[in-house]
Amino acid sequence: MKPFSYGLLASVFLLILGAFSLFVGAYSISIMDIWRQPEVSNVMISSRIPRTLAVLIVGSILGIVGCLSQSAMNNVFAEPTTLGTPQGIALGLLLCSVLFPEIGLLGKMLLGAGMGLFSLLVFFALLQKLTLSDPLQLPLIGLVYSAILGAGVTFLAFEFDRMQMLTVWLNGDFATIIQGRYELLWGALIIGVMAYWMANQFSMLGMGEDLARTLGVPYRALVFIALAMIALATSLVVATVGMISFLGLVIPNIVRQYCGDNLKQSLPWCAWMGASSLLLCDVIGRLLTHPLEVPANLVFAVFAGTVFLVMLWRGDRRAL
Amino acid sequence: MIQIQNVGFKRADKTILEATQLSLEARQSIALIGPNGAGKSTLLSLMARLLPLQTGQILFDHLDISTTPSQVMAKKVGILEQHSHFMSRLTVQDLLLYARYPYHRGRPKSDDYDVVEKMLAYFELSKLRATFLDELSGGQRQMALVAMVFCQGTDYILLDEPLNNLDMYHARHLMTTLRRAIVDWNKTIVIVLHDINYASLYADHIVALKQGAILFQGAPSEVLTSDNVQALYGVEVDIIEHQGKRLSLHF
Ligand SMILES: Nc1ncnc2c1ncn2[C@@H]1O[C@H](COP(=O)(O)OP(=O)(O)OP(=O)(O)O)[C@@H](O)[C@H]1O
Ligand SMILES: [Mg+2]
Repeated sequence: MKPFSYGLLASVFLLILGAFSLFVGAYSISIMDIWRQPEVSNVMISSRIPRTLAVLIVGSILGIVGCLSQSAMNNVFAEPTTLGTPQGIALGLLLCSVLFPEIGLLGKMLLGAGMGLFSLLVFFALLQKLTLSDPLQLPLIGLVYSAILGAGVTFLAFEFDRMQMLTVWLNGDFATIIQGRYELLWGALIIGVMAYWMANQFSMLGMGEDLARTLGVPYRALVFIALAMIALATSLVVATVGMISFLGLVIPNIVRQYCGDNLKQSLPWCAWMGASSLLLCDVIGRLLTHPLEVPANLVFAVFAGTVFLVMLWRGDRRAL
Repeated sequence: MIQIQNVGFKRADKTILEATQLSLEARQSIALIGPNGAGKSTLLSLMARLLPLQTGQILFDHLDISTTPSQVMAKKVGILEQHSHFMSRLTVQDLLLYARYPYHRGRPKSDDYDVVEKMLAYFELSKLRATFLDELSGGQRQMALVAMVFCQGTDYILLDEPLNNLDMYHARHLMTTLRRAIVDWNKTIVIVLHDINYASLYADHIVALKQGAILFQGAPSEVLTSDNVQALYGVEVDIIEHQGKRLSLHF
């Protein structure tokens, strides 16, 4: 099959899944009701459509962000969760809600992104000091790093009675998404498009600093741009729906098997696969204990954990 | 012309390269030989701007590597390192296209694709174009990396032990291809070799390094004497003449 027909197939699949997602929820809806009953179309417009769009955007942007992290850090295990970025962002959001409670969602999100970027830069500097003999060492360092950041955040959250918020930020859940609460996510989608636009430049990062430098690639500047995009997009996700852990790790690694590290080819597939797997998990979460819900983050964690274990099991660390 | 003036290198007070003077003509192949740890890779890395110059100057055609913008140098000097262990999962074709970065800066145009096609053919890699690098054999990978440096289209090419992993056919094929490239495209190639017979057969000029200093240099027919080789490696060898070239027997 030509790549074009794969693309077509993928889009059709996503459309069907998206349409299905509109009709799954605590309140059951049939197509006919939408036109006949105004309150039903209200549910659609104010809740179901925003929710489905939010899942699609978050899934695709986290797929892209994961892929970008792996190029920027030159390590297949890099993604916001293994780099401690959500904790960094949560620290920013928390400080914001304590120091400037009036600032509004956009300002809050920018401060979160700032702290997230700072934590990424520190991690990058740390990686330059250490020479990893095995890529698997990165998530171990990341574990320690995010534990330190996480401890700081938790302490502050306790002090200022914000534990509730912290839980929401670190555990993505789409149940609370309604019209007016997710629109900032479109910003994340713009970042995704920009990442695709610069895909060829970002691909050069994966070849390592030495090679990139002899080719005249402005390596450090590109890494900085990539990290800034990662921080900004992740912060948008954390501030609106909360983090979905390990999506950025699992999805790009599956895509890599087929598309390699040419980001021009792999980024669209990371976006597609992130969006469809997250939507699938969200739909499953809504159906499992109907009419109650299991948060998407939880369902995805089971899925991601399984995929990850299978990958480790196969022991193909290079290709992983 | 490559001019290396007074270039030395230290790591934590240990002298790795003593202040070196070297002047090399363009459009020829220059073999860098010497025992392990002599400082060959260090010298090449300095020339390729991979290590910062601590003392002295290096010029390629009067372009000073420490003052010339990196985008300009990227079109002048290309290097294949001894250990190029990047982890990217790229196809051979993409790898070559990325090496055109100095020209397309991330937006490849049709002449970039043309050069890639030409190099794939030149290095007999056309069949492997869509194969991922991590699925190639060591030798195929090595050929792809050499082709990549050529795609960069630089006048000066530095190759650190390119014959690693190559079988008899491919080693010879690579060396003859390099010779051809010097004639066809006016390249200047500095190549680190461990087999002095390859150096003798394919190089125009030999530079021998030992413990960070130049022990001898000159045309193979002049400098490859059994005394010189023994002083360099500490191995007794017989030098024989074969079809006008010197060969060393060292078994
Ligand atoms: N990263 C490093 N840190 C410390 N010392 C180094 C480093 N790289 C090289 N050296 C030292 O510098 C000296 C020269 O190394 P270099 O790699 O230039 O040798 P070489 O001539 O290329 O050897 P080979 O033929 O084994 O490749 C060696 O003594 C080595 O121990
Ligand atoms: Mg070496």
